[in-house]
Amino acid sequence: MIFYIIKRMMTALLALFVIATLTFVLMNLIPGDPFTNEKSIPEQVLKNLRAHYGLDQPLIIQYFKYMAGIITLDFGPSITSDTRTVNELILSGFPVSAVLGIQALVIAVVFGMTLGIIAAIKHNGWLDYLSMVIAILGLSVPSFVLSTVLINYFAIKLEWLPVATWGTWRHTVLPSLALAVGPLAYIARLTRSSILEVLTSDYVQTAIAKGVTGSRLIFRHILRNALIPVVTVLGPISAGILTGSFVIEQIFGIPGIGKYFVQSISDRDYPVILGTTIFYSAILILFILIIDLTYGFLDPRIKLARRR
Amino acid sequence: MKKRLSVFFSFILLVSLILSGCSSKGIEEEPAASDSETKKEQKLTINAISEPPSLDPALIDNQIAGDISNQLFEGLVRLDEKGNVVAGVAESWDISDDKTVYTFHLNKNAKWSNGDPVTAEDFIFSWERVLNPEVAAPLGSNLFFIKNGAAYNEGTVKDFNEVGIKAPDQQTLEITLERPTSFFLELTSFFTLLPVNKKVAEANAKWATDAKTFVSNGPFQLKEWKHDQELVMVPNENYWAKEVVKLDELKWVMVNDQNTEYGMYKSGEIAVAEQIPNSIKSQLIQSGDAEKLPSASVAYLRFNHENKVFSNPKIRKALSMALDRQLIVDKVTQGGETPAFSFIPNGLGNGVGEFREQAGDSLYKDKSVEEAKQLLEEGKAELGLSSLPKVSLLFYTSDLYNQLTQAMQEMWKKNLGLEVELKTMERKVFVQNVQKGDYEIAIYSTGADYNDAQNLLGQFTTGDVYNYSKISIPAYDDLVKKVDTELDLNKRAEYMQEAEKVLLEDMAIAPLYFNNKVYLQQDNVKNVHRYIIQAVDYREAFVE
Repeated sequence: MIFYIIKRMMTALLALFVIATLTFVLMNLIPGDPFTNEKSIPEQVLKNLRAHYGLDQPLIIQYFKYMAGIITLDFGPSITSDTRTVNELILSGFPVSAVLGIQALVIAVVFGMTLGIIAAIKHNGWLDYLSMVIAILGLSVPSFVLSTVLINYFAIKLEWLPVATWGTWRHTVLPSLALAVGPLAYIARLTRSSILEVLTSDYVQTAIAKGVTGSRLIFRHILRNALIPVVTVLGPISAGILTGSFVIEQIFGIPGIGKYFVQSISDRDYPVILGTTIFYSAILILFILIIDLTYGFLDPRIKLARRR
Repeated sequence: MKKRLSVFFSFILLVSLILSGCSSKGIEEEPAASDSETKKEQKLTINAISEPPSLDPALIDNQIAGDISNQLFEGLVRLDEKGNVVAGVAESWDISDDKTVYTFHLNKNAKWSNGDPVTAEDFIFSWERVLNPEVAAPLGSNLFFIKNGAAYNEGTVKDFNEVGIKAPDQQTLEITLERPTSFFLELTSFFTLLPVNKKVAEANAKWATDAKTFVSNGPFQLKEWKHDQELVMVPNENYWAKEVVKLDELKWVMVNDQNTEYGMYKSGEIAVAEQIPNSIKSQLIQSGDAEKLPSASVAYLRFNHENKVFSNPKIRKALSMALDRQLIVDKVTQGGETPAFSFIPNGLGNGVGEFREQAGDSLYKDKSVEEAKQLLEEGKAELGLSSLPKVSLLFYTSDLYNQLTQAMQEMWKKNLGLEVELKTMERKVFVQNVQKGDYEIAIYSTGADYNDAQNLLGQFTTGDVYNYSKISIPAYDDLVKKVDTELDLNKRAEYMQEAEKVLLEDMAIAPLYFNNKVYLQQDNVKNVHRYIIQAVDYREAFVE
């Protein structure tokens, strides 16, 4: 097991190196630089700015500088922000996005699985149809539409919750809901279909024939197998949700990290592009590893490391 | 098997417990709800829209940071509610007869928020930083009017003593300009020229990144700065005119989304909304709820004069004439814009008054379909073409421009039978294409950096680095040169008017509309001063 984890860590580092290199090449291929602007900025000022951020040096030197920084976990200064470095941006933004993401994830998993289980058990009954209508709505209504509806109803009409910004738990309710609905619907549909599949398998039929019913059947016999596809998608979903959503953070004015993924690209803020990409990749790789490890728990047939 | 399963589920339970426990951590407990109950509480919350990239005056390059810093700092002069120059840190000033030497006498009572006096030395230190190439101040050109300012920034003058910024004593600042500059006095209130505390800045290079170390000399001081979230200001107890400051707290939140901002305004969470969704903008302007103010910026069509087709004035004129600008503003852009029949935007000065008031605002007409058709035919004949090759209109992707270009494409097709291809790209890619001259027609917008029409005229002279249209009109070049050197302000204003006329005579560019700042302000909020170019001023604001 330990050997397996170490091996995975090594490949993860290699993957991060490749990702960093590719990102560096790609972002420098985009036309324009951080100071490209419609405004008439004097050539001299532009020259000073480029020199200040080391952008006047040959790309290969810039590349080695970035790489040296990354190895020491220092992503350098942000070009757009004069007040914070990329490390500070990530350190202050990630906890906020993570709080939001965890709440959304809990909502999505709990309600998504519940909906899926209900739908599968009451297969083709009205509860099934209702659950699936909710799930399809959740999948097809974009989160920015849902956010606007939530704000208009709960914040402006009923005045139960603040419209936007961040600070108290009340500020987190609407964005968590808005963020949760998409994954919730996805998990619900996945849970339903994989339970239905397991339901027809021989061992479940045997259990039913032996008189196992109710929650015992579901939790002991069905769910354990049915969960594997759900757990598989949880990895990427968690990584995506935890590292923030550009749209939700934008709409609710949340100081998370999500906007930097998008904003840094249109700003050509090279250190931020690299920093956020590597950070996201690391989180994603970590979650995939965690998910792979949980397979062993869920299904003893799946063996991670070759037995010696 | 049983055991394993229960271990697994208790693990899930544990994790979700921990996670939901986490979720309320890191977020402050809600403050007592009594805040909004007492009436006439002098607290304002406004939307900064986004985190200011910097609040160090030398490094500021955008309006958001400029608006915020204008409450924290005070320059040599400030503007009163009508936009007249009044005393700031300087209580008086003398201007030499040749209008090139400005001597500012600083107010002895002007203090920093830490109690230090504001001295001429502070200004020298601050302005040296703006011009120092190593600091790389993005708006350094605002100080290029000062003698040797540009040269020092370029590095051709190494000794700062040769730059026209001197302090005969701690209370006097003597500025020598390259040449008479009618708008220089007003410019000293602009955010690039705001002072920083020399002692503080020298002791800690990162003083401007955190509220704890932030020292300012304006009506307000920084109490709290949660990056990307909010910024709280309280009155500066050491401010020389602290009795005019009525607010107890000025809070800036950072909400980028238009609809959310409007929602917060409607629910009373913010006092001012400055980026109203376009779908309701015109409605709010008509109902009188929203106010409108010129913003010294103009959207126009650039023609590439190196392109054979658009080197022909008649074709450019035909394209401009076939448009219906009023319709575009009313039905397409709908942002409270003013249709432009001239180039210099409303509200911009000319040294002796307001440019547009003196120059009139109708230098050409549009919506003349027959005339446009005829011009197009004549133009084609002059070029020896039986029909025009397919031309393209370049713009950067945005909802506004997507709609605007489709409307124009339709107008050209209907009125001239002309097929124009729309080409859209990401903003910086677009800018780079235009700068390289890789376009035929492009939508561009330009705004003034200081309150003088001259600011916008230089970019169309032959060989100018910003002349991405490759315009070359000798008569225009002459006039702009005269504007640069003319000492008589009235004559200078006339030259500027003349230059604008020459530029538009052959439609070297085709202005579309002037942008306006449209904003909502709660009825009980008074005394907020807004200007064409200068940052908003909350010094005397109060809640009624």
